[in-house]
Amino acid sequence: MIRKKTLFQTLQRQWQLLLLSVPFMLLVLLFSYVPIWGWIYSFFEASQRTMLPNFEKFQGLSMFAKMINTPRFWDALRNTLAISVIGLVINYVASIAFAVMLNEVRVKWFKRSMQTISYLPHFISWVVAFSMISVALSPDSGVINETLLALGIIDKPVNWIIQNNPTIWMVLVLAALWKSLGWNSIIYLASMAGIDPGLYESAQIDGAGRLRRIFSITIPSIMPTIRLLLILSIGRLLSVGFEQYLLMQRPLTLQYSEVIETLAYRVVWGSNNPGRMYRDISYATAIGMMNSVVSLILLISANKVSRMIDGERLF
Amino acid sequence: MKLRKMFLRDGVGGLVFDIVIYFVMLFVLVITLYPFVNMIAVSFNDALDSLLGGIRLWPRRFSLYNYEFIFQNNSIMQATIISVLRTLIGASLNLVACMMLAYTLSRKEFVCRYLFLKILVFTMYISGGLIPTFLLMRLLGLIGTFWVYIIPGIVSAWNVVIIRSYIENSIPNSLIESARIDGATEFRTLFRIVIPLSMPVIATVLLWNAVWQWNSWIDVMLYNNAKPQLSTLQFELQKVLMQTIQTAQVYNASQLGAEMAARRQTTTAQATRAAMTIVATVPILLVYPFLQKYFIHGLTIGGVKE
Repeated sequence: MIRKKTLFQTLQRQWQLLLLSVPFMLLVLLFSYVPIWGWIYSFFEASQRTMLPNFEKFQGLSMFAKMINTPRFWDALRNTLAISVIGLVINYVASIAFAVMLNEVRVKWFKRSMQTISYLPHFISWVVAFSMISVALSPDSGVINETLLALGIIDKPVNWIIQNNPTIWMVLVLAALWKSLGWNSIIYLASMAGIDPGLYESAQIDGAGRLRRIFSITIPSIMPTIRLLLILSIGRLLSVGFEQYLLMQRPLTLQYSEVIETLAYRVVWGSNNPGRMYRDISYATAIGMMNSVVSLILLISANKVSRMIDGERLF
Repeated sequence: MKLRKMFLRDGVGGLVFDIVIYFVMLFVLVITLYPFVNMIAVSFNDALDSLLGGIRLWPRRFSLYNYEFIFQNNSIMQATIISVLRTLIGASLNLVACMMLAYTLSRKEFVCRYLFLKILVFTMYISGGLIPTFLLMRLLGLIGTFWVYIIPGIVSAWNVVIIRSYIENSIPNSLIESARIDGATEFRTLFRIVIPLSMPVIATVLLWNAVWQWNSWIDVMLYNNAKPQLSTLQFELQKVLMQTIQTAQVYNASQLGAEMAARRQTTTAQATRAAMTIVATVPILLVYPFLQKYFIHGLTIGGVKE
């Protein structure tokens, strides 16, 4: 007589597997899912003593109303969108171009050392990276200013870090590019390694030049990778960069360098007034939620653009 | 030989193409390495002399005093110890946790497998954000303790996914099956068969974690700002960095000359920062060859399946 095992019996039989996994899953629930419930702080005031949400003090959408009436929020939203979109485009084009060029390098040892060196900035912390970048950007004898002066592009040293105008967007984007260019190119190089060399040979016999081969073989071959990485990076666009922005923002430049996440941080920690914290929590949480909303909008528009270009959806 | 043949085939166009490529590569090489070399040069240069500017690739007035200064500084040494501790403890506990979880998720008969995987992968895309996370730490009493560096990050979805796909792709299922038939418990299978066969992925995850722990500073700033004894090297560097940038002074030569005559050995925030930057980078450089060896591997095994 065969009886189908119930779920409970199966679970009982797999107690060892459960013992090895459930404690850790509980930690995941605690540290990754409980904070998502924290979004209710946008709608309920935090109690002053315990800082738990106080369900008697419902404040509806008043925090969002406060937010959209604050010019600082709109500045931060504009900067977030501008920096992410410019950053995405520049990072994308640069890392694909770098990978394609590196792939054309025929001298093996040079190619390998180039790869090794280009990953290095990825592994240092943003603090270390910015420590180095700030020296290079410095207005007194920083190497970037000196080079630009020598080339005649600028006629007096520029203090790049305190630009309170869209220039700071480019400074932030290029600093991030310095750190991630090599690393971002790995995956493209890996997928280029899988291209059949026979394709190149026959193209060569047909008289295709090297540029022609890149645009007709290399790039179409890595297109699936390019598309896949686009989804991944758009999904995470707004969750990276917090460390960098916090380090590179100056009080003078906040109008153009503040982003949504750092604004939420400043609402709570920026004022040297600990007693006020519990009241600001709701407001900061509401602002933080906007980060997820913007992420979603970016993802959907990327999907639209991709469909317009070649009729294929990203997801 | 090969190069000449290629030249003959691609002609002048090919040559121009090569020149452009090598020019771009050289440019990337210089902008990547220059900041490192420059930082090393400044860190070994006399602090007051550095204020005159113009240190590029090599120290002008060689001095070890900047390093002496930071190694004699108690708070920096204390912070370095905390950094080392969180790197060692954090990286190994994370590895143990992710290994166990990944093993169970690789067992095809495990009923919770897909549910748990979905729960994990979701966390890679959505997070509750800064403030709710802070309040959770506060509620759990982790603020102001060393464990706030370790416990919240003990399970990372990415590592679990990588280890799991390694186990599924590289360890023959028959091996695990036969151990089970011989009556081995799950624990025994894990420790006697799976772990010894997973060394490459273990090395990858361990190194990755170690680098991540060593480089973290946001958590120090958010949770332990009021506890100087739990500060880390990166956070101390961040403080010096903020200080030097805000008080950037322009010195002139005569003013400096007077100061140099008055004090024989001294250091400036700028020079201390250079030395600290190098101290914070050296461990990364030391494990870099190993990172090189393992991380691409980790990246590709992670990428194959997902």
